[in-house]
Amino acid sequence: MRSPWRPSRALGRATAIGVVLLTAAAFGGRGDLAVIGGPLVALVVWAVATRPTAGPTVRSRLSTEVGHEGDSLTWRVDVSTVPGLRDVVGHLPGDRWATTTPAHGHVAAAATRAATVPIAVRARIDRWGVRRLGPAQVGGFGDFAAFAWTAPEQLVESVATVPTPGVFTSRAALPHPVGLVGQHRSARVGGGTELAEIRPFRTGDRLRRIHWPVSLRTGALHVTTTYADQDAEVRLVLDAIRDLGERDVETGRRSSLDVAVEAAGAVAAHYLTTGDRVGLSVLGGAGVVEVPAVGGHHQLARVLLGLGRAEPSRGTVGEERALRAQLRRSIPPGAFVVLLSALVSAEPLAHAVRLARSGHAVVVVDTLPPELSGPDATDDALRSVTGVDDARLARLVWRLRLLDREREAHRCAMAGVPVIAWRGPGSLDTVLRQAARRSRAPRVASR
Amino acid sequence: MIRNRTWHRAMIGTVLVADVVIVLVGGAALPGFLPFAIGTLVIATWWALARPAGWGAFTLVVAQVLCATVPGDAPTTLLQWALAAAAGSAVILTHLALTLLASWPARADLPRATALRWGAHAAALVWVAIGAALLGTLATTTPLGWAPWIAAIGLGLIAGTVWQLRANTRKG
Repeated sequence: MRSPWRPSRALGRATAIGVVLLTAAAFGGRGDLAVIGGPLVALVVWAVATRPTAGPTVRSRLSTEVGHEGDSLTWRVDVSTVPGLRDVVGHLPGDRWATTTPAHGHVAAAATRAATVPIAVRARIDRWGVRRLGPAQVGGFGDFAAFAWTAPEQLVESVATVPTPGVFTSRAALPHPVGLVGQHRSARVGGGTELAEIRPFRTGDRLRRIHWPVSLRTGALHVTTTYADQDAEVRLVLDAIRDLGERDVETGRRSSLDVAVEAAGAVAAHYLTTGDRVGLSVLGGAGVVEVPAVGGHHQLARVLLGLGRAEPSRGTVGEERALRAQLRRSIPPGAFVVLLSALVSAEPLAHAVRLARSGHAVVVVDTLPPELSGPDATDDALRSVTGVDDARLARLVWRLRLLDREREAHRCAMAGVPVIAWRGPGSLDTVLRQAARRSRAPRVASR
Repeated sequence: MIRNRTWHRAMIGTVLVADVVIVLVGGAALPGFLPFAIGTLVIATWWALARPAGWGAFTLVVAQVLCATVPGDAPTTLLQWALAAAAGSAVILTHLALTLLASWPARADLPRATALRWGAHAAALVWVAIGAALLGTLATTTPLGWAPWIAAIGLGLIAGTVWQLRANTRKG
């Protein structure tokens, strides 16, 4: 088996010059050539005598597999010590949203008597999502760097970074609560705490429900009725087909997917605290993310982890297939659907309209960053969004896209799917009240 | 850790000092050779420092050897052997400095343990040059009949060094 260690150019240089000098010294009778060539030949003999033969093994690991935005972690690569290994060098680069210390990612360590030689960088994660660190290159040297080894595999590590949810509160009740327990007032009368009406006693009414003051005053038995307390399912649907805009940590500028993730996290956190069940679907994107609707404290962590895995689509055939499969997946009756989208992809909007027509309460939250939706968008931002280099042409293309977007939003509204911009707390209140009124209003039924 | 700028400057300084030593050795033998030696070494040094992993390093070491040996004859006096030892030390230090510049990532800091080991190894090789010069001095300043004994001392030194080397590096 061939040794993974290769002689370096420096060894070749020392060998060539040293041997020539000693030969010339022997044949020419020049002692000074032997004095100059002697150390070079000694270096070669030394390096060959101590050369490493076995290939070290490399093990890479992160200090954590799941992080939060702004967290720091350690990326450590351990190189096993083999006889003759003297130094280990490595290049452990971060990615665009993972700043390493040192920033250039070049690290080195000297071999000791320990079983492994560790090299490590610190990485600060500046953005949610799957952050990929690497590819790392690791190498080692023998004495005088005469023999060099390079790890055959380039190491890549990924860390799922959970987003920090935004702030969201809502005072409006969800339109179709269907569960057994919860904090939403049901549209139907049942066991609960909120008074519905006082009506004459009927057969089957419980005696403890009799309202004695009214019964005595009217001379006939009357009972109190209450609204049932129920919970609801909230299904967050995140449109990750495209990510528009640029994230800038320093200026606080965010992309459409940043806004969508923050909003989804905030809505999930709010409804989970009110006892509802929250699920998540990420449409499109590089990986299929489906979080079943469950209630409870741990569900927020699951939803945030799912949001952290959301990535913009790369446009592959596999992703399109996965998207079609996701769009075919049914959503339980009565679920309140919140679609978070930049409204530039047709499929999610069509999906929202289909859901509304099948009886779900659907709200579309527009997550396009304000700096892109207004006329004061910068040329660079428009170039990035449209992919057109010419600034004037990019502005024109984007203007047409915005008109198209307005048309799509209008069509959604006409189909009964309200489209609202994300403004944090209270964003959904108006549409939720309207949806609740609609659900209580009398309907024409065919008999 | 020694910061990358610091060890870089130290290595470049080592190469420049070695150049100066070579110029002095060549100039001591033949002063008229100085302008040619300086010109050659300046160009070769610039090339070697610009691309230490390329042929520039080879060219600089060869240029140093030629500039140190071409102007003079075979050394016979103690001073000439001392100059040869200085030239040998300068060449081996240049080689080591260029090797470190070529192999170590330019932006990486140098661990102190690595610097100490390279320093110790460089000192050992400089002692090889000095030892060779001492043997040469003995050979040229003693009667001809002592030659076998001097050769035996030289071989004994080499054998002892190799044995020590193997004993210290193959442990564990």
